[in-house]
Amino acid sequence: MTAMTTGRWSLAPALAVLLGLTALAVMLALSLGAAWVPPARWLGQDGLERDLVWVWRAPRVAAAFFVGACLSLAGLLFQGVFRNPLAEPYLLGSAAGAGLGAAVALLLPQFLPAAWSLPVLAFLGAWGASWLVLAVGRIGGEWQPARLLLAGVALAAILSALRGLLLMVLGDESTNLRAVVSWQLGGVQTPTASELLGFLPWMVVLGWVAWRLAPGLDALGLGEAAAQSLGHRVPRLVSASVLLAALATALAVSWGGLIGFVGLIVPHLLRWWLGPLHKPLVPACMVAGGLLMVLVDTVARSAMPPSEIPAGLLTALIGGPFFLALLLSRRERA
Amino acid sequence: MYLETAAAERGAFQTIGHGHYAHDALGWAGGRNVFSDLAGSQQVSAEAIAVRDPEVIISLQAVPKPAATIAARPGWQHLRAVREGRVVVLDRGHKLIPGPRQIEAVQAYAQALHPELFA
Repeated sequence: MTAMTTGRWSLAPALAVLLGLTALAVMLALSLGAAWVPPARWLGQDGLERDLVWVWRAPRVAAAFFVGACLSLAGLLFQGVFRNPLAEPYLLGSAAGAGLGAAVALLLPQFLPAAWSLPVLAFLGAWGASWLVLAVGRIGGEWQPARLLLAGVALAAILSALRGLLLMVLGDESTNLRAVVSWQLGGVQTPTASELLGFLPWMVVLGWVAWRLAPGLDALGLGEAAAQSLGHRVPRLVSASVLLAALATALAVSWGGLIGFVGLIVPHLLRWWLGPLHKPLVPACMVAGGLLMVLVDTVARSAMPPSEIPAGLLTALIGGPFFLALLLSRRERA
Repeated sequence: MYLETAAAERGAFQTIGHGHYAHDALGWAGGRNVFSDLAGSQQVSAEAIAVRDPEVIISLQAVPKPAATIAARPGWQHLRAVREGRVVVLDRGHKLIPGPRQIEAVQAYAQALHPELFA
């Protein structure tokens, strides 16, 4: 595990800092919203205040953390597989696939129970899109990251166009258009208690599989031939990573709508902080992504009460300039 | 009361505030919109609905689903309107089109808000 210390920080202190910040963010998220409830009154006499914290906010904060963790894990995996700093779910078709599935769920008559149709169709869309990208990348027998990336970009454009077409054809006053538009701009959904319990096993499974894939992704960073010679089966590694990332994307999209940028900036920030090895990056990205989304969702709920701001707008509006500033400052130092 | 013009089951709750014809129609039907301080079409958070705690919830849906689906939304069983069984789902029909048929919308809102007067 000496390799763990090649970054500027090793995993344990970084994770401790991130978890500490997350605890602070969660406290803030539970206190802020349509009405301010300070921690001292979380278990107080006032029924409304108790409900606000535990019934309305706590599940949503958990969902926000889950969405952020999934998005940044997906971004980390995509960047690792495609060896391209631009790779993230939104560039590669899997989020567009999930978005198309969700638009179908929201606009067409329901053939599944309402609570299920959105996550299931989003999931199918993301998986289908990722399989297609993989299939195109596999043609000719050799893995070419550039080819996969281009296939993903093309597929994302096609799927977004299909979603737009669906909106144009079906989007009149008699449909759920406003809800669909809002969902596309991103916003964390509130889970029921049983769905909330489902988040933990998903996070453990995603994190564990990603952790297992991490050494392969490190080797892949040296090039395909190098990875092969180090004993990694590259085609299997690539397809496993892409499918895992698609799964994480689908989970994030079905709970948070289309939220861009998190999957792009979180892995980059952490790579600058912890170095390029994937093993420490997996847990760090999940916690940091969750932390970021908890903060973003808090702003979405409480900046202009009782109105709600779509979270996807916030991630791009706040995250974009922040990321640009970081890029500039790093360039100056270099 | 709270008028839901669209929603994505677990979030993205859309409503209307002052300056919107549906807000006026609600007023003529004898309803007081809990979000009358907002202007036009707006998205509100679930907890904002909980804070305003409307007496009646009217949901406009293109394909009306049972009111129980609204009661089954996470947390919504804590709302007064849900506890007291005052959730009404109406066919969206022409209710969100500003035109002469708003009169029919006013009548439908009045029936939903004051069922005893139409018994």
